Amino acid sequence: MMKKTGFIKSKLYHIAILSAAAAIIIMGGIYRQSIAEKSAQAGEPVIEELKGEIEIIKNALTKNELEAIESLIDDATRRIRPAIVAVKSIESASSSRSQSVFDDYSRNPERAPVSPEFESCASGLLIDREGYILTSASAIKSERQFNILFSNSSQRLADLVAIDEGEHLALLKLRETDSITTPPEFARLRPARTGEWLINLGRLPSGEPSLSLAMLSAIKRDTAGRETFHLNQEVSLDQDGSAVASLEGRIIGINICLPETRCLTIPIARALDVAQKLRAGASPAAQSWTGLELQEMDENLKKYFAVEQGAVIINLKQDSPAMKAGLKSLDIITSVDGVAASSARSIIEQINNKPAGSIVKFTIKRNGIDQSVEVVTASFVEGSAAGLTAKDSTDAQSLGIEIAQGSSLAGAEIKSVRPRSEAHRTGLQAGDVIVEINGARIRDYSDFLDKQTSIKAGQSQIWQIERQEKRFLIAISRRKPS
Amino acid sequence: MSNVLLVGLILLLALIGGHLVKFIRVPEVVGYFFIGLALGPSISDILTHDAVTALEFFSEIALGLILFSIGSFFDFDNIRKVGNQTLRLTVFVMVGTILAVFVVLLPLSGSWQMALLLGVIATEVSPIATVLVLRESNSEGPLTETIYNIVALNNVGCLVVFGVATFFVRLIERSGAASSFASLLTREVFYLVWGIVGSVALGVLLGYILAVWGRKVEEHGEMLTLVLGMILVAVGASNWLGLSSLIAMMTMGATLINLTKASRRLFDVLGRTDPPVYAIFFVLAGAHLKLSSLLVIGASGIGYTVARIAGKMAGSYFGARSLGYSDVIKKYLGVSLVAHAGVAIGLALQVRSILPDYNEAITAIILGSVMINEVAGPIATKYAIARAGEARVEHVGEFEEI
Repeated sequence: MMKKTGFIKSKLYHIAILSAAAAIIIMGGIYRQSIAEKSAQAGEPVIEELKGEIEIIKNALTKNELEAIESLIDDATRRIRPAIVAVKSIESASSSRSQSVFDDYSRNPERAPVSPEFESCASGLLIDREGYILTSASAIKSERQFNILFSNSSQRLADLVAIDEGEHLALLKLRETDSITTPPEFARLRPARTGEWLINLGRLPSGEPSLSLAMLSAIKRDTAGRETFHLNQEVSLDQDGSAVASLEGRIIGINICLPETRCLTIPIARALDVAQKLRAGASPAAQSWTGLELQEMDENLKKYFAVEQGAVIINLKQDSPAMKAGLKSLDIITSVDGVAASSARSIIEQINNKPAGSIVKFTIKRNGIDQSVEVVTASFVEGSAAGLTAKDSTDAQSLGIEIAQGSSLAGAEIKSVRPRSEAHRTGLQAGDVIVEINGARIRDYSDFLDKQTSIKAGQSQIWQIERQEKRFLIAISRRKPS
Repeated sequence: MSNVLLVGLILLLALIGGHLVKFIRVPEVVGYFFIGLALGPSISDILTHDAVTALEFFSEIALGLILFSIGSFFDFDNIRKVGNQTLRLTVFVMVGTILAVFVVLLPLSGSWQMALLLGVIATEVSPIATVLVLRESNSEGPLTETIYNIVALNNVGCLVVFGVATFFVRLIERSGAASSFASLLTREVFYLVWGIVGSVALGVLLGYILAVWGRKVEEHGEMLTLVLGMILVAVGASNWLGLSSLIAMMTMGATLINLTKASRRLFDVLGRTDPPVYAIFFVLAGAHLKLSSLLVIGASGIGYTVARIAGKMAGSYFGARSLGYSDVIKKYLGVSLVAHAGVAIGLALQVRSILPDYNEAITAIILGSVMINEVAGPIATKYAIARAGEARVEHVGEFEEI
C-alpha cells in the first residue's frame, strides 16, 4: 500500500497515465475515422446513431406510411380515373401530319410509335354529368368535333363548345350523355399547400393512362393576378390537359401546356369558372364579346379611384373590340348603355345579353375624367358563321380564320384568327385584308369562297395581304378533310 | 416565443412548481417535471417540439454536471473502504433487475433480444433525479452513502453491459446479412472497446488538465468558469469522438478527486451554482414526454415497470443481506433506486435501431415507464431516506425554506 502511494506521487506515474490516455484517444480517434470513411464509401451512414435513425424511418415508412400512401393513391386513382378522358380530333387521325404546332410534339420521333387507330391530342377532364369536358386549348386546331375515349375504352363524340384563349382552356360537350360516370370531387375551396403530394393523371397520346407522383412546389400569381400551381417536376407535353389531384382524391388543377412549350397547372376552381363562363357565353350562337377583363373594386380601390361603383379594367385581349375602341387597363367602367354598372359581373352579363356586332356604350373614368366609349362587339369562337353553309364554314375555319361579310370590294377582311391554326402560324392577324389569292383579285368574302373551292385541300396557295397599307405575301394550305 | 424568454419562464415556473409540490411533501424535481408536462406539446404547447430540441444542449450539460459530481465518489480512499462491497452489491442489484425484467418481458414480447436489452436498460437509475433528492433533503448516513456509490457504479455498469449486450445482439441480428463477417466483427468490437476505454481515457486526460489548472485558480468565479468550461469541452469532445459522455464525465470527476483533495472546492463551487441547469433539465424532460404515452403503455410496459422495481428491491435486499449491510439498506436501497430517465430513452432509441420490428413496443414501454418513474422515483427515494432517518430537513414549516 505504501509503495503504491509512493508510486502515485511520483511524476513518472502521472506521465505514464497521461500519455496512455492521450495515445488511446489519438489512435482510437484515427482508427474510428478510417472505419467511418470505409463505411461511407460502402454507402453506409457514417454515424451509428444516424444509421439507427435511418433504419427507424425506413422501417416506419415500409410498415405503415408507405402502405398508407400507396392505398391512398390507389383509392384516389380509382375514383378519378373514369373522368380522365383522351381527346382526339376526328380529322387528325388521318390528316397529313406535321401541320400544327401540337402535332410536332406528338410526332417526336424518339417516342414510341403511337397506334394509328387512336392518337389523342390531349387529356381531358369530365367535369359534370351533363357531359362537359375541360381540356387544353392545344387540343383544338380547327375542328369542332372530337372523339372522346373513356377509361373503359368506350368512345363518344363531342362538340367544341368554346375556347378561352386567355386561360388556354377548351370546353367540349358530349353528344350523348346517358350513363356518364359521376365526375370526381373538386377541391374548389380547399387551399392547396406547397409541399403537398399530388398525383397527376392523364392519357398519353396513344390513349394509355398515365400516372405520376408530383409535389406542389410553389403557388404563383401571373401578371393578371391569377394563381397557378407549379409542380416539382416538369409537366411534360404528354400531360397536356391532364388532371392533378390530391392524395384524398380531389382534383386540384388541370395541366395546360402553352404553345411556347411551357406547362403550368391551373387551379381547378378557376378552370371550372372558365367552363361556366364558356358554357354561358356560348349557348346562344352569337353572344357579344369585347375582350375585357374586369375586376370588382373593393372599398379601397373605390376610394383610390374616387368612384362610387363600377369595375376596373385589368386587362384587354390583344386586338379585341375593346382594345380597338381605345379602352385601356385601369379605366373604370361606371355605366353600360346608360345603366349604372354595379359590379364586374353585371357588366359582363349586360354585354353577353347583346348579340354580337351590336354597339355597347361604356361610360368610363380615366384619370378622373369621365369619357364615353363605344365598342362594337364581336363573337370570338362561335359567331359570325351565321349565314354560311356548313361547307363554307369548314373552308374558312379549316384555315383558322373568320372573314367579315361586308362587301367593301377592297378585299376579304379577316375578322379573327384562331390561335394555333394554319392562319395563325403564317402570322395573319385580325384586320388583315386578303386582296389576292394565287394572283387572282379578291374583292370580298364570296370571292374568297369561290377561290377556295377551286383549290384542293393540302395544296399551297399564295395570298397577298394588306395590312395597314402595306402588302405582303404568305403561303398557306387548307387541311385535307378526313 | 424566443428561446431566451422560454428559458426564463422555465426557470421561474420550475421554481413555483418546485415550491407547490413541497406542500404535499413531494421532491422539487417532480414539480419541475410537472411544469415541463404542462408547458410541453401534450398540454399547452408553449414549449414546442422545436423549442425542446433547441434547448436540448441544456440536458447534455446537466447530465455532464451530475456525472462529474458523481465521479467524485470514486476517490481511492472511498474505493478502498467500500469499493469491493459496493461493486458486489451493484452486481446484485443489476442482475436482479435484468432477471426480473427478462423473465416478465420474455413471454409478453416473445423476443429474447428485446427482453434482454430492455432488462439492461432497466438497470439505469436516473442519477440526476436521485442525487437531487438526496441534496434537497440534505441527507446523510449509510443509506445516502450507499445510494451515491451505487448510482455511480450502477450507471457505469449499465452502459458497459448495454454495450456488450447490444454488441452480441447486433452480431446475431446482422450476421446473416453481412457480406464479410470478419470486418463486421472487428468494427463492432472496436466500437464496443472504444466506447468504454476511449471514454475513460478522455476523462482521465481532461481530469489531469483540470487538476493542474485548478491549482492555479483561487477565486470563486474563476473556478466556476474553469469547471464549466472543462465540462462543456468534455461533453462536446466525447460527442465529437463518438464516445460516451457519461463515462467520460464520471472518469473526469474521479480523476480530479484522486489527484488533489483540494479539488473538493471545485465540486462545491459547482454544487452551489448548478441548480438552474437541473431545473431546466427536468422541465425539458417533462416536455419531452406525453401524457398519452401512459395510455398506450400496455401490459408489457406495466410489466416492465413493476418487474424493474421488484428486481431492484429483491436484488438490493438479497445483496445487502449476503454482504452484511445494515437493515436500513436491506429495506430501503431498492426503493431509492427507482428513478428512471433520459439515459434510458437514449438507450431505448438505440435498441429500436437494432430491433426495428419492435420499435413501437419499445417506445411504448420505455416512454410510459419513464413517465411513471420520473414521478414515482423521486418520491420513492425521498420516502426511503426519510424512513431511514437520514433526511435532515424535515419540513416542519413550509415557509422556512422560502
